[in-house]
This record gives sequence, structure tokens and C-alpha cells, in this order.
Amino acid sequence: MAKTIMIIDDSASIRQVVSITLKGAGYEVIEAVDGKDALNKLTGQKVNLIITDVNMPNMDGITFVTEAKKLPAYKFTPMMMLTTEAADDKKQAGKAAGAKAWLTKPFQAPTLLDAVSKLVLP
Amino acid sequence: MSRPDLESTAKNVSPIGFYMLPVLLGGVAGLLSILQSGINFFSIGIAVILPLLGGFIGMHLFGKCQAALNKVNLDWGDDERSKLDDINAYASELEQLCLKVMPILLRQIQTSRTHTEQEITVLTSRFASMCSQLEQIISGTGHNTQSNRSVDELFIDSQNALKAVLHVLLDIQTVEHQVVEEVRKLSSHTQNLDSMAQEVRKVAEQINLLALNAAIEAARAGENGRGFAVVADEVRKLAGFSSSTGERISRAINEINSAMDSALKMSEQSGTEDDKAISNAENSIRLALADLRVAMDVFKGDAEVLRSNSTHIRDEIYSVLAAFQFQDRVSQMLTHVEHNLSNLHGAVDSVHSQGLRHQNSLNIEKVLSSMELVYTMPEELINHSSSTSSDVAKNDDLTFF
Repeated sequence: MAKTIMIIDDSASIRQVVSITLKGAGYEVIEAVDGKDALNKLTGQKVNLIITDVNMPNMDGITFVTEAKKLPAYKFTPMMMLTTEAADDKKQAGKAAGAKAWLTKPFQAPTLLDAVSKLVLP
Repeated sequence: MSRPDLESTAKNVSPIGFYMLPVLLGGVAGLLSILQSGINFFSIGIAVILPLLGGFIGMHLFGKCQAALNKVNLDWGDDERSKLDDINAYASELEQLCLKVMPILLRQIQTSRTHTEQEITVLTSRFASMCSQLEQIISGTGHNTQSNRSVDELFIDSQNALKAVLHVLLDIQTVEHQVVEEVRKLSSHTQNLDSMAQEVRKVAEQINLLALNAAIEAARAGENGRGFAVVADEVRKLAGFSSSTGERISRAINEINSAMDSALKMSEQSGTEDDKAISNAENSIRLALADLRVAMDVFKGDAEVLRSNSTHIRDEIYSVLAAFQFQDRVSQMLTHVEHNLSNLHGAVDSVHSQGLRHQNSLNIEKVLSSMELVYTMPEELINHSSSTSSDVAKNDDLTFF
């Protein structure tokens, strides 16, 4: 059964790039436009990995990770930040919120797939 | 520099310098006159008159200088006031320019950003669709279920189906040969039957002859032989029947033989034609399979080239899609530029509306600091500091926590 990955980004083009890359590798993808939209879509179904942008309207990525970790069903779901941010203080904030990895944009498909393969839940 | 400063500059020209030197020179000359002539009325008069004369000359020079200076100051003041008015007008115009141009620039940036976002999203969507279609070509999953089978499997299946047809034809041919052989055997049996019918006829003739002799002998015996004569007559009739039956059997056998010969000839002719047809069919099938093999090899080669090209194009599209991420970075940078321009507009507008034009009224350092807070990308910080540093951001940088 294909593993499911959620991608959260306010940029439609980034969502499509990530989506096509992951679908090409055999994953199923759920898309959300920001943290709030993602929380609305996390309704208990199994998600093997969540990839989120940091700077988004309504709810930013770090707040989303913090909130998602409070949900029992997603407490142990691995989460990765995918962002243009590269400052160490931001990375530390992401780590403190519960993220497992930080990938700076623009990314190359092999790097994303490598990170996903290492993080995705069995 | 303010106007009072300019006026004070003119007033600060001291008259002492103009009086001191001539008076001092007059005094020195008067003293020299006293020293040379001794103390007398004349020398004392000279000593008094010369400093006074120096004083008058100094006063005259001061007056001329002051008048010239006043004129210069007046011209300078007018010039400075004119320049100051120009500077004030320029500052006001610059302020107005900022207030009018910044919203225009903001709208232009917003429109450009929106257009770029929309078009890149459409392009990404189309490229993603192309990738999906190429994936289908590469994996060979079309709408036709036949395409799920490999070309080799298809060829082997076709070959087996045609061989099965050939086997069926060969089996039919074998059966036909067996039938012909059986008919030939039957023909030899009918020949035996014919000879047997001829023997029956001969036996009937012999019996007839025998019955005739018996009738003659019965006639010789007279009255005693009458009964025997009747029997002999009956035997002769039976011999006649046997003879005619034998003839009918012979005729029937001849007819059967004739029909069988005809059937045999037709069977043999048909068998020969079938042999040729089957042989031709076999050759045709072999040729067709060989042609099919060649066509399929060409097709396989073409399909392989297509698959390889599709893979290459798909990878290229993936690269293009990855490159489209520039839009996200550009969009974020433009958003930050919009935000900072908007803040700058607000600051200029605040100074303009409150009329607080003085030094540091815009608080440039504060504006620059607040701009810096908005940045999210290292390039923005580098651009902000006008640094030519090559320490650009590391893209595609993965960190595990």
C-alpha cells in the first residue's frame, strides 16, 4: 500500500513540484495551502510524513508543527520543514517545535526523495 | 544653514582691525617725528595728527569695506534664501514624488508578482500533466489492456496460435490420408467380392448344367423319374436365380468399384491439393511469423527509443519543474519589497502630514532595521548590506535534527 505524505505550502507551484516528485516515487500526496488548512485536513487518517513550508498566511509552519504534535494521532508523525529560510535561529525553532529535518529551497528531487525515504514512517 | 547665521556672519566683521593699523602706524610715525625733531609743538602736533589721520583713513576704509561686505552679504543672503527655497521646494517635491510613486511601484510589483505566480502555476500544472503522461508511456500502462503484455509475449502467443492451426491442418491431412488408404483397402475387398460373385455365377451354371442332366436322366427313367424331374427343374430354376443374383452382385460391385475409384481419385487429388495447401500455409505462416518478428523487433526498438526519449524528457521536465521554484523565492522577495515600500511610504506620509521636517525625522536607521526584520533569505540580507560577499545561501541544504 502506498505511503501518504502531506505537503503544506502557500505556493501552488511548490505544491505541484513536490507533489509530482513524490507521486513519481510512488507516494500518495495530500496538499494543504497553510497550517490552518492542514489541521482541518488531518482528520485521523494515517499520514506517514508531513512536509511544511515555514512562512505562510493564516498559520506558519512552526506553529503548525507545534499544534499538530498536540494531536494524539499525529504525535509521532515525522515532520520536515521545506523553506527558503536558512537562519540557524529559525532551524532551532523548528527543531524545538518537533521537526525532524530542514530542507532549504530550491531543492533538487533526489535530495527531497532521500530525506523522505529516511523520515517516512513504515 | 539658517538665515540668522548668514546675517551674523556679516555683523561679525570687526572694525578694530580697520582702525588699529592706521592709528598704530600714525602713532609710530608721530613718535618717530618726536624722536627726530625732539619735543616741540610741531612734533607733538604731527604725533597727534598722524594717528587721527590714520583713524580717519581706517574709518573710511572700514566704511567702504563694510559697504562692500554688506552688499556681498545681501547678495549672498538673497542667493542662499533662493537656494533654501529651492531646497525646500525640492524636498517637498521629493516627498510628493515618494508619496505618489511608491503606491504606483507597489501596485506594479503586486501585479508582476501575481502574474508570475499565476503563469508559473499554470506552467507547473501543464508540465506536471506532461510528466504523468510520460510516466504512462514509460511504464507502458495505456488504456488498452493488450499493451500490458510485452511484445515478445504477444509474438509467442501469436506463434503458438498459428502453430496450433497448422497442427490441426496436419491432423486433418493425416486423417485424409488414412481415409484414402481405407478406401483403397475397401477397393481390394470389392474386387474379391466380384470374383466371389463370378464364382457364384459359375457354380450356378454348373448347377444348371447338373439340373439339366438330372432332367434328362429323369426323362429316361419314365414314370419313376417324374418326381425327380420336378426336383431337377426346381434346382435348374434356383441355379438361374443364383446366376442372375451373381450378375446383379457383379454389377453392384462394379458400380461400387466405379464410385470408389472415382472417390479415391477425388480423395487422392484432394489430398494432393491439401498437401500443397498445407505446405503453402506452413510456408506462409513461417514467412508471416518471420515478418512479424522483424516488425516486432523494429517496434520494440522504436518503443525502446521512445521509452528512452520519454525518460530523458521526463527528467528534463523534472529539472524544469525544480527550476520553477525560483518563483517562490522571487515572490517572497517581492512581498518583502512591497512590505518595506509600504512601510517607507507610511513613514514619509507621516512626516508629510505632521509637517515634522527636521533632521532625523525619518529615522533612517530605524527604517533600515525594520526592513531587515522582514527578510527570510540570506540573499536579502546580503543585498541589504550591499555586500559583494560570495557567501550566498546554500540551496538544497538538508539538515536532520
